Parts: sequence; structure tokens; C-alpha cells
Amino acid sequence: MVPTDYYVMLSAILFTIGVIGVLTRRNALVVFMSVELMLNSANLALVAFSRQWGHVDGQILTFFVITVAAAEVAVGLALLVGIFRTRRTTNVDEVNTMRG
Amino acid sequence: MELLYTLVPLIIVLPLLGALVNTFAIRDGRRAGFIASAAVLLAFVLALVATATLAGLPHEEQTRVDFMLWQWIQAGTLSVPFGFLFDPLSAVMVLLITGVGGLIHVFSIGYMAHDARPVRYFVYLNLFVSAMLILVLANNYLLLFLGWEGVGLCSYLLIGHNFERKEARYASMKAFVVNRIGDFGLMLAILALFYVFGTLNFGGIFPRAAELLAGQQVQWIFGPTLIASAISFCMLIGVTGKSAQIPLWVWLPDAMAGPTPASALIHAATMVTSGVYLIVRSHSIFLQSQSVSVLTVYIGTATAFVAASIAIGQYDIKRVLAFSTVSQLGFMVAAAGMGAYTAAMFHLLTHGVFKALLFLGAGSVIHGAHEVQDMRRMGGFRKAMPRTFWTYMVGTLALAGIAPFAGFWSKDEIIGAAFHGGRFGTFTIAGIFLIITAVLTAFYMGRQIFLVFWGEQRDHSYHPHESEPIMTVPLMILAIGAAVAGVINLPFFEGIGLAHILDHFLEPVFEVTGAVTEPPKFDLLLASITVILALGALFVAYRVYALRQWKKTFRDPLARVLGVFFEGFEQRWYADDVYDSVVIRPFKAIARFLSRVFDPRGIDGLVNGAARLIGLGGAGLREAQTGYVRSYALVFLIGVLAVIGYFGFMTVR
Amino acid sequence: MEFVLFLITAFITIGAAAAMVLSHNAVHSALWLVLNFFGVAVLYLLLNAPFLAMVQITVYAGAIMVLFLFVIMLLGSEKGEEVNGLPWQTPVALVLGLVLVSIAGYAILGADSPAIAAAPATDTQIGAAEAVANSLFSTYLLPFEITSVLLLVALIGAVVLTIKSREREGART
Repeated sequence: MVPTDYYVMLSAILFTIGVIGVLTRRNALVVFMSVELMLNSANLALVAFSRQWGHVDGQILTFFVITVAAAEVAVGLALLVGIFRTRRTTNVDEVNTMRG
Repeated sequence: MELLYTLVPLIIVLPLLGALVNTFAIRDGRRAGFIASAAVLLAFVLALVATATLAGLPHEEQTRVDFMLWQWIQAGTLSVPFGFLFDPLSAVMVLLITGVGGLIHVFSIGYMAHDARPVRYFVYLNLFVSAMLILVLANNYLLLFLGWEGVGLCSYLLIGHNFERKEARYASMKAFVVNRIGDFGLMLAILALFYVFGTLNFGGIFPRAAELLAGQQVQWIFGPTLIASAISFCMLIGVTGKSAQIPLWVWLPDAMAGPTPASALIHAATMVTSGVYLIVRSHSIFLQSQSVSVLTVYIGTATAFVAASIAIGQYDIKRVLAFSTVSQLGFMVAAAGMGAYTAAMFHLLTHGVFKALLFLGAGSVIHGAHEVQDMRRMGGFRKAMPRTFWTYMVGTLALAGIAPFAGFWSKDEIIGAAFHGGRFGTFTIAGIFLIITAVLTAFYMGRQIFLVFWGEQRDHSYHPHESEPIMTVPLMILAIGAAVAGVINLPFFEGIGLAHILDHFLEPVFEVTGAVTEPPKFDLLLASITVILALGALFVAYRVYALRQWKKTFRDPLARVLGVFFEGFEQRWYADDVYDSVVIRPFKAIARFLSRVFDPRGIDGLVNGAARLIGLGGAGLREAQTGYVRSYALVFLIGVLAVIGYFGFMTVR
Repeated sequence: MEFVLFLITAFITIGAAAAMVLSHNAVHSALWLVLNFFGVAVLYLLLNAPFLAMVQITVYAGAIMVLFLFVIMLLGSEKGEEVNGLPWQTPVALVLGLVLVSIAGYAILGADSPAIAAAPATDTQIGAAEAVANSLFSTYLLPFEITSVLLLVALIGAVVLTIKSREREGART
């Protein structure tokens, strides 16, 4: 049986990749995907702990996370479409009108 | 007694009403003058009735006409009523103010006939009378201060009446600023009084002053004498400001830039005597401090002597009288310092009459001589204006102290007090100087008379004429007063009840504070000496000035005899120059430094610097607001790292 | 055997994730992410969570990623990387990522916590659809219902956002 440590570590690595993706990619869609990746890594850790404690609650929470992620993607992508309609771009570095 | 409660406020309200009516309803100068005069003369009649009523009261009741119209200021333990005290001391002041003031109002109708702004003049004059009445009728120090400031304001306005003239503007400013220094002293005194006594009412302070200051109720590290000294010293500063004593006397001679009747009323007869009134009113505090009282004597004496010597060196007819006023005020202040309060009041009253007479006479001369004020350009007016001449003569004799005119009795009483001693012992040196001053007084008045009325006219560029009756009648009334005013306090005729009338009348005021003294005895030797010396001075003046025909720009023959001293007299002992270089120039330099260097560099620099610093900080922080969502995410991550770093290391260990 | 499977799946997921971040084409990224999701689904199976694994594939790999691909195609934004306002951020992000992994590794692997060191529970039935459904419709019934409301709100929101912008465009032309 694979120790829980390994799963959690894998989750951390995936999360870090997601973070780097958010920080370095300019395409808003890719940034979005990186966020999804981070959510996934968190889900993985939750499920790993669920098995560790022999308890289903972790999986229930993961279930909710997936649902919320779906909703978030729907709204987020709608926003992206809206932004694209006015700015003709999906590059986050071009949408910096809130500059001080 | 009930009558007084109505009469006293009415006396104050009448001139105030006159001022209001003239301000809003009257445009014609002559009509305004009649209204103003009527208001003040009516007030005088009421004052006569009030005084007679007061005199009819039982002895101990005479100081109890102390009533409140309304509560004026109520804050914490401070409670100041808008209330009046009508006692013998106030009564004589009210009589002087309204009586002499009324005559001066009447005189002004003629004098101001050709003025550009007569209505305004009469408004100020009426306003002054009410302020002065508030000053002398107040039953507490704060209301007194209201009047004190009110008369200062009116003085400022009247000095600057001819504001087209530069020297009038400067003189009004000078008077106001110098008076302000004195007012500050009085303000400090009032604050100290409230601190020590917990009240500002005369009735709450004076009867208890001695016991409070000496007793257990005020415990202080300084001791009661020093408190009394501090309070009375602050008051003395106020007195030197308002009554033009050394060192704050410089404003009064310049105040002559105002219209001559205003000078007569404010800068000779009434306002400048309010300092003397203040000392007499506060005598129970001054009595507690021997040191300040002695200081008061010497300030008064020095002022009297210095001002009299300066008067010798002046050519301007009004200026001579101005310095004479300063000198005579010195007499009063010295007397008040000696504790001879009745003598001070006596001289205040007689001086008020004859100095008003002299000023109005000088006004009549100036009016008749078409605004000429330089005595060197006059001469021989005896024939052109006989009525002015005779009345002026009476005033001169009264001021010179020739028996039996009014000034003789009062001045003699002061000199007598100096030699015979009062509460604080004898003041022989002060007395000698006062006699010298009296001689000088006689001399400069003789000089003036002989230069103006004797001889031939030296400048023929104008034709002097006698003034109209509306001006000469007040002169005559005042001349009668100047001749006989001495009867109010004759030192003899005890048998027929004519002796010491003023002494007896004022007695209740001093009874309250336990400060009654025996009326001074008449010193025939001293009186003879002063009269003989004064007559001699007049004779010398006659020899020097009356016998020769001068040119219209001559230099005083005394200049040859006295040399540098005469120059000093002419230049007022250089007091203005000293003040200019010691006070005004450094002050201006500091002001210039503050305005040109400190304010733009220091204050503005500080303010602008603070603003610029914040602006720079904002500009710096602005750079952080890139608008790039990714950089915000980076910052977010740094925060996350900090948090999980903390928990990671903490929990694992 | 199980361990080998874990290692292979782990490598695939990490590789797919890295490829998603690195690839220059957004469509490729999306496809790599789908692979990553499949790997995670396999890991769920290894963790005795078959129901979640199915949800992961249908909802994530199926619905969400299709939506992504659909938007990419709609906007034609396969590239969208031309402007780079923060060129210095890439190295900083890498360093910080390294720090993050280090902290996590120190906290996870360096820990002597008895809870994690202990053997995991062996109940293989907790992840079955029946067990999950039991819990979901009893203890977590209220959150479940609220989730449905959330989805409804998201649905309406997405519709409103797109319709409004279309109206504005219509008003402009």
C-alpha cells in the first residue's frame, strides 16, 4: 500500500506546477487551467487523507469542490468572453487598466 | 434708592441711544450735534438727580447701590453680572463725564461745522461717553474692562477721524497698540484676581481683600504681600497705558492728531483719568502692597516732571497741552500711589474741568486762526478773540496753580500729601520734584499765553476771528468751573460746612475697605512757596516772551540758555527715537525675518515638505499598482509562503 | 505492483501538468490537462474512491475541459502570449515555486507525525457509490441542496454576462 505521504507530496508538486503556471502564463485560458490544476491537486490530498482516516468526508468535500469548480469555470469563461469582446485579447498583461 | 436702579442704567443708555439715532437716522452734522449734546446733557441732569439721591441716603447705604441687570457670563465658577455700582466715587466720575462731556459736545457743534464727517464724529463721541460711563459704573472688573476697551476703541476712532492725514492714521495706530500693552497688564490682573478671590465683583473683593490676602484662605508659597504686589503691578501696567505714564506715555502727545474737542474730552478730561480711577477703585489691593504703591508714586512723579519739561520745548499749541496733560496725570498717579486717594480724585476733577477748558480754548484759537497750530505764527490774539482770551487766562491760572483757582487747591493737596506723608510715609524727593514740575507748569503755560495772546500777530497770512457763541458759551461755563471748582474740597471753613466736601462725600467708599484717613491739613508755608514760585515762573515767561517782537519762525530764546537740554525738551527726551530703535526696529526686523525667511522657508517648507513627502510616498507606492493581475498573484504567493512557512516549521517541530 | 502503478501514474500526471504549463498552444495545454485529469482519476481508484474517479472523468475531463476547448476555439486564442509585461516574473516564479515545494516537502516528508506514519485504514468500501450517497444525502443534504442553487446561479450568471455584452454591442453598431 502506498503511504499517504507520497500522495500528499505528489499533490504539493502538482499544486506548485499550477502556481508557476498562474504566475508565468499570459493566456487567460491557460491561467484558468492552471487554477484547475491547483484545485485538482488539493482534491488529491483530500482523497488521500480520506483513505488515511478511513472516512468518507474527504471525498464528499472533493465532490463539492468539483461542483464549485464547474460553476466557477462557467462564470469565469463567460467573463473571459466578455473581456475578449471589448478588449479583443485574452492576454492578462494587456488588461492592466487598473494601473495606479 | 429704587429710583437709582432706574436712573443709573438710563444715564448709560442715553448717549448710546444718541449714537444709535445718529448712526441710522441723521445725515445732517448740526442736527446730529444737537441730538448728541442733548443726550449727554440729559444724562448730566439725570446724574445730578442720582447724585443728590445718593447723597441723601444714609452713610452706610451709599456704597450699597450695587445691582445686576442680567447675568452676563456664567461659566463654571465664573459668574459675571452685567451690573452697576453707583457709589460716591462713581457719582463724581459720572458728573465729570456727563457735565464736561456735555459742554464739549455743545462746543463741537460749532467746531465741527466745517468737518467732512460730523455725524460720524458725534456718533463716536456719544459712544465714547457710554463706554466711559460703563467703565466707571461697572460693579465688576470684567464690565470695567469692557468700558476700558470701549473707550480705547473710541479713542482710536477719534484720533483717526481725519484719516486722510498720514499722521492721524499713524497716531491712531500708535495709541491703539500702546494701549493694548497696558490692557494686557490689566487683563492679567483680572485673571489673577479671579484666581485669588474666585470672583470679579467689587463687592466680593474689596471689603475682604485685606483679610483674604493676609488670612488663611489664600495659602501660597509667595505670601499675601507678593500676590497683592503682582496684581497691583499688573494693574499699574494698565494704568501706565491708559493714563499715559512712563513708560507707555508716548501715545498721548500724538493723539492730538484727532479733532481738538475730542482731545479735550478723551485725551484730557476723562479717558486718560480712568487709570487713576482704577487705582482709586482698587485701593484696597494697592494698599496691601507698599512696594508697588511706592513705585506708582515715582512713576507718577517722573512722568510729571519729564512731560512738563518737554512741554517747554514745544511750539504746537495742542502739543503743549498734551504734555501738560501727561504731566498732570503724573500728579494724580503719584497722589494715588501715596494713598492720598481723595487728593488724586480732587485733582482729577479740577483738572478735568480746567484742562477741558484749555483744550477747548485751544480749539477755539485754532478754529479762529484757520487751523494754524504753531504758536510762533500766532500772537496778539488778545484783541481778535477776547472771550477766548479771558477764559483761556482762567484755565492757565488754574493749571499754573495760582490761588484761588481750582488747580491750586488740588495740586497743593497732592504736594502736601507728599511732604506730610500718608500710609506709606513721606516722599520728600517726589514732593520736591512735584514742586519743580508745578513751577515748570506755570512757566510753559505763561509761555503759551504770552506767545498766543500778547504781542503782535507774527504771521499775517490769515485773519483770526472770535468763535461763535455756541463755542464760547461752553468756554465761559468751564471758566467759571475752573475758577471755583476748588470749593468742592477746601481745606478750611470747617465752621460753615464748606471744608473737605469731597473728602466727606467719598468717605463711604473708603469706609467699606477700612481705608479712611483724616483729611489733610492745609500747609500755609508750602502753599505760599508754590504760589510764589509759580507767579515767579509766569513773570519770567512774561519777561522772556512778551516783551519782544519775534519773527514767525523764531527759535525759542531758551535754546541759547539751556543748550542741549532744550534740544532734549524739543525732541521729547528722544523717547520716541529710543522706542523706535529699541522696540520698533528690532520688532520690525524680527517680523521681516519671520515673514521673508522663516515663513516661506520654515513653515511653508515644513508644510510643503510634508505634502511632498506624502506625494513621493504615493508615487512610490503607485509603482506597485501595476495593474498586472499576475504581479498581484505573485505578492499573494509570497504571503502564502510566509504563512505556510510559519505553520510548516512550527507544527513539524 | 500497486506501488509501481502509483509511480507510473504519478509521473504521467506530473509530466502532463508540466507539459500543460510549458506548451505554447492553448489547445495543447488543454489536452495535456485532460491527460493529467485522467491520471488523477487513476490515483483516485488507487485510493479506494471509484465514485469520485468516475465523477472526475465525466465532470472534469468531460464537461469542463470540453467547455475550455470550446471557448478557445470560439475566441481563437490558441496563442495569446505575445505581450509580456513582467519579463522578470518567470525566474522569480520558478524560485518561489521551488521554495513552496521545499517547504511542503519538509513539512510532509520530514514530519514524524504518528498519524501520517501509521498505516492507512484498509476499509475499501468507503469510496463506493453507496457509501458516498449515504453520506451525501443524510449528513450533507443541506450543502448538497445549496450546491444545486450555486450551480443555478452560475448558470444564470453566465447567461446574463454574455447576453448583456451582446446587447451593448448591438447598441453600438
